Amino acid sequence: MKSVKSDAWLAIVVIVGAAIYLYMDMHLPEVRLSDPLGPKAFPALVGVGLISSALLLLLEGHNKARHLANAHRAANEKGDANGDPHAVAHTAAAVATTTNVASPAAVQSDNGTTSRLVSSDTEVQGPAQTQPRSRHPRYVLILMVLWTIAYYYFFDRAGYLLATSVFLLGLLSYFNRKRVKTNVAVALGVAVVLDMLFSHLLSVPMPTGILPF
Amino acid sequence: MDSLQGILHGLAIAATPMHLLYTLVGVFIGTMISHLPGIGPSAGIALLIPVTFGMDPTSALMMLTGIYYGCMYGGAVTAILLNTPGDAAAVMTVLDGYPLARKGRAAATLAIAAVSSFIAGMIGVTALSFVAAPLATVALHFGPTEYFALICFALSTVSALTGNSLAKGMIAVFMGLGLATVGIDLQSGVPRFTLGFTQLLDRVNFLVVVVGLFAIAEVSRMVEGTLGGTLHTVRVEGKLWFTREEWRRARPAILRGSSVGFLCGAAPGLGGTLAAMLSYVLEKKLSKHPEEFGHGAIEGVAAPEAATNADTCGAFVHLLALGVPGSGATAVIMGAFIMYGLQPGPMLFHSNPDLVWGLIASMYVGNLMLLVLNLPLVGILSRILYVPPGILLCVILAIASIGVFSFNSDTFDLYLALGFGVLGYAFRRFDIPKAPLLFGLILGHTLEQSFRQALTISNGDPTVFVRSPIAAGLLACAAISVGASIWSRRKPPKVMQQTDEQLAEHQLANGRH
Repeated sequence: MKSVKSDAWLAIVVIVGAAIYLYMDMHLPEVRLSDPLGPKAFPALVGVGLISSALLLLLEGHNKARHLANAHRAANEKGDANGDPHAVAHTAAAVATTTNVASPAAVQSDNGTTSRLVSSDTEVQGPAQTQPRSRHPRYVLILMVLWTIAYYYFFDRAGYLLATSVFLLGLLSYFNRKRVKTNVAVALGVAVVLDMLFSHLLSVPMPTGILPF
Repeated sequence: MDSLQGILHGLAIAATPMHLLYTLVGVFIGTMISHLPGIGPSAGIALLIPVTFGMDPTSALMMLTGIYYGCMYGGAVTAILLNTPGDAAAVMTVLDGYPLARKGRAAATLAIAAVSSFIAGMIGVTALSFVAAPLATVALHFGPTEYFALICFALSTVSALTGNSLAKGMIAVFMGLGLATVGIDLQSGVPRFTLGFTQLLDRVNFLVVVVGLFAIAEVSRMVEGTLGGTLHTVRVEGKLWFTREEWRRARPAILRGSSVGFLCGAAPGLGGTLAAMLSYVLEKKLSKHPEEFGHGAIEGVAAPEAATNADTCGAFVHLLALGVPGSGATAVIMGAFIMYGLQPGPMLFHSNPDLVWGLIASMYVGNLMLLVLNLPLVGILSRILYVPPGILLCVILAIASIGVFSFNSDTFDLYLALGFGVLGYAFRRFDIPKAPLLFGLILGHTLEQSFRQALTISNGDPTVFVRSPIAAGLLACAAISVGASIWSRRKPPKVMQQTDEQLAEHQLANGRH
């Protein structure tokens, strides 16, 4: 029932965001030059729309939880009757998809969730499985965001060529380990080619920074 | 200009060596992008827009459009050989394409996919060229009231029909609309929601959002992919051409798939994924041997492939005739139009007939190029799949960064794009569709302007929206699409459920994910 819970969090975040948005909207100056509405009316409608869709999400989550509970009960009964763990997995897969109604893209893009649901359901009696794999990339992603922020910070201060080469080298030496020569070649090559392409062919002024070119 | 005359005129424009070259480059890059796991047409087009800065708009748009349908063509290749759809629309091709490839019919399946894409593309472009001009003539009579209703309709279908939750689609649409209100209000000159950033006075740059939301966010998916899981490739083998029997079975499927796809494309917001799914379900229903579906039925490859390619043409009907995008990728192309100072919509047929007809005709040329190129290219392009994803994701990040920087030569945009990248990651985690946000962002400004103009004309009387019959009809359609979405979710049609189960089983059986 993880997805239902995360949906509730999402709804809360959206409502808080919409409230801030509406608060900012109310503090806009009242200017009615030619139109009867002024600059505040449309954003107010958008804010109200956001809040109502968040409420709708809560309602959907409520229905889904109830539906899921029923389906789980049915699946368990069926599985017990057959004494066949495969049947449980099968029906659970069906449940997971029917709650994910319609979009195959969702099934595809969110394999993580679907298979997690299924994998924990194959051991209905056992404790819920934790996924060690999903934990690891999260830290990597946070580090990557920080590394990218540092790159953008030095983007015009150190110059495009230098910043990009260092940035790429850093990333490559993590993702493509132990191939130092390839990494250096790719990092320098990509930086130089992109710099040439944009500054010479497309005449976009690229920051030169501390390097003379 | 008459449609037929227009096409001939357009062909004359598209056949100039320069335009032919750019179309070729576009379809080639599109095919290449479709081979890259994670990068779909929207991100690909957004990444390449900066490269088109110096070009004239006609060549640039021909190239960008070529990327779009080239990508749709190529999506089937990874689906068939790798069991991984190259783009979201190719999910249905996986079901039958991969089993066929494992039976040793990989080359024949690729050929069927290419031929059905080609036929569907040709049918689609022909339909586009005969529907768009009359529709544009009708749309010329649209006032602000009708435009408001039209955009409401487009936004309601995109939020109701993409993704698997109406509420999440609506959240994405309203977020897009909210983002569209950032910046100086053109009617009163009041800066809104800029948080003190002068860079935001000129509104949030649409292309920055696209690069962040699609390209940068997709890198996160690749990171998760590289840290676990491998790809199993099927070798291209077997006789290159399909047998007569296979062709006999595929032919009606292609025609049906094309019509389903074009109709889906012509309804705003119904993306290629749904088109592919509907055509697959239709084929399975009509087939004499439905039990073969999922185990290698040739119709199961031909119909969805035809549908996704016809869908791209359908999506252009709206963009060119009404100025409303038909899918996520056409929303990005609309962003490109705006960047070149062109407002897509009915006026474009009068103010820039060369561009519109040239673009339409270039789609004929591009489809022909794809058919010729596709089969020989499979061998070469599938080598891209062997580029280590670690290197690929670094290069994508670098290209995305320099592209975003080049829009305004401002590092502020870089941070903004990264922020949207993080937002895109959150969207994927929470399973929120991204296309509605793009629609809201790109249409929000027009929506607000037409809303306020309509009320100014009527002196603040809100009944103006129901007094115009066209506007009232469109608003009713919007209400119906939202209502239908709620109703169908409560009771999803049985065939759709079965297909979903089949998809889930397929994913489980191949267990890679």
